[in-house]
Amino acid sequence: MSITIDFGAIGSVTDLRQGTRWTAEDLARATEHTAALLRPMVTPDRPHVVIGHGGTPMFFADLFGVWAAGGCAVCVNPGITAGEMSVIGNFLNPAAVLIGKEDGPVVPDGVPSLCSVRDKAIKKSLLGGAVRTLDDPALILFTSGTTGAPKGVVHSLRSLLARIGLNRVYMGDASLARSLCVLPTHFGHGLIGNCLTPLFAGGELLLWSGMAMKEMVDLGATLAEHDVTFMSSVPAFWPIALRLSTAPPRRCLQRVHIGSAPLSSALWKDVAHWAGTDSVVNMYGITETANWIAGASLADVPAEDGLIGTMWGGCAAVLSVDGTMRSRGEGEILVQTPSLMMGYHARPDLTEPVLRNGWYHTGDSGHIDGDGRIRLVGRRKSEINKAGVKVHPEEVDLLLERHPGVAEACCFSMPDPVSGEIVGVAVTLAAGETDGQPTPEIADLRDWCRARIKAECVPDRWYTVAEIPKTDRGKVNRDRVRDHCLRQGPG
Amino acid sequence: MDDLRMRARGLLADALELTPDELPDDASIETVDAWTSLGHMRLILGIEASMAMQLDAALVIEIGSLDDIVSVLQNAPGR
Repeated sequence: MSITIDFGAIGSVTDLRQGTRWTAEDLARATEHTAALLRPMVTPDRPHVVIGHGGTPMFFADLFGVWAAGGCAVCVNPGITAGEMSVIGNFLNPAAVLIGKEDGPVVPDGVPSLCSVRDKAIKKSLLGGAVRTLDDPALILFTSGTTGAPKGVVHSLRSLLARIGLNRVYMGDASLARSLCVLPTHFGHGLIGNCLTPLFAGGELLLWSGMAMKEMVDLGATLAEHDVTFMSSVPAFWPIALRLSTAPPRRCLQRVHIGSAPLSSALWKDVAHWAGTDSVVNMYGITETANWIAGASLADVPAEDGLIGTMWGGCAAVLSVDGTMRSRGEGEILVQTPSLMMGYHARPDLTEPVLRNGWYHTGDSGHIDGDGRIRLVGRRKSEINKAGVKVHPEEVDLLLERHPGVAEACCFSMPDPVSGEIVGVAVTLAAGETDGQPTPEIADLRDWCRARIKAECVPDRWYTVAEIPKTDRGKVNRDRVRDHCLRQGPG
Repeated sequence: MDDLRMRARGLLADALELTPDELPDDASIETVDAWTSLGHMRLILGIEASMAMQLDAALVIEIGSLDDIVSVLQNAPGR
């Protein structure tokens, strides 16, 4: 048995940059082609297929093709380094990697690399494929650890379809008639919220991911030209867009979502003014919950920093510092939702602390009022939110400490007017020559990182320090390290 | 002119989180990987802060190289 996607109900995908439009029939044909390629390879013991490309109609055909073949799709950043791909290869032992084009990512040894456009399917492969149920793993998105110990969020088709169904209820299919995606398709926000939700609502999806500065000038005109009804983005997108593009010459947007990072009330209002609609919604979404789980619209409430509104299905609670769980009050935000992940792939050590008694512990601190409205005030976890991209400082520390010239490293968040936050790092250099190499310069360390980790995770500000300050218990407090570096100055 | 070039190099390096030495003389959006849209916006904010004025939207898009930044600084009002 395999899952059948009803292409009669699915929408179309247009690549604005290429000017190509794939109808539901085109998607169905390409999906079957990919599925036929994969069926001889995907087995219950080896279900994972890495998709190493994105932002095109072919990406969706490959995603649906993996599901049709009974596999579990693993969507990775197309800019993944060879080292990161090797780590993922060792972690998952995937059945295949779909590269999308000839010059796609480097594929680990022993793993077939497939290009759906290039490779021909064998007819008899239609007979193969793994058995799949709604509760088998269907999608893995890595949130960290691709340089060492991967942390892959696993969703079943049940959790994905639950999220998509709830999104449609709360958004309304009319607003999803024509959706623009400017986000990458390997993140939950872009993939599940901005793309799969409108596609499954039968809408037209317009892809324009990785928009360049020069293209952003045309945003308003493009929205009007294509009569776009819905778009989503991260907050960092908007100061640039508002600066460069005039508003759409006629009102077309029915709904705008902003999420993945804190949204200021001033920017929230500016976007509403530009877009010509009050339905600008500050969204709360987490990869572990298949993205959006709560939202606050200017159509319903005045703009307020940190306000992310009420739950979109499911319920929320707070865990106070004394360990008491309450439906109202202050503390760590806990959620229950039908779109909750199955867990982190092969990492019970990471899953157990965050999934307890049916509640997901978000790591975000906040307040729930008497009307069930959630306000976020901070976060307990140490991740750095760089323009919506989550960077895990521990991962970058560990990577840097593998460099022979680095004795110790500590990354921390720094405020930034454009990205919201950027990554700062304090490094203590190993004394004298190490492994016959002279003490590295900061530029050398930066280049070394760039070759091993995604560009957005490479620290932005570097500080060499004699010693990384510790608490009296010998622990690192990242805020204290940042303050120490700021007092000391760069270099 | 050398002073202006040094100032432009400093602004660009700050915006892209690089050291000035890491920028080639012909630094441009095409030749420097770190020159992303977010880095570009940081550069514009840096230029505007140093000139105490807001750049025109067309100019924001036209700036694409170290030479362009020098030219903007050179044409600053009151210079």
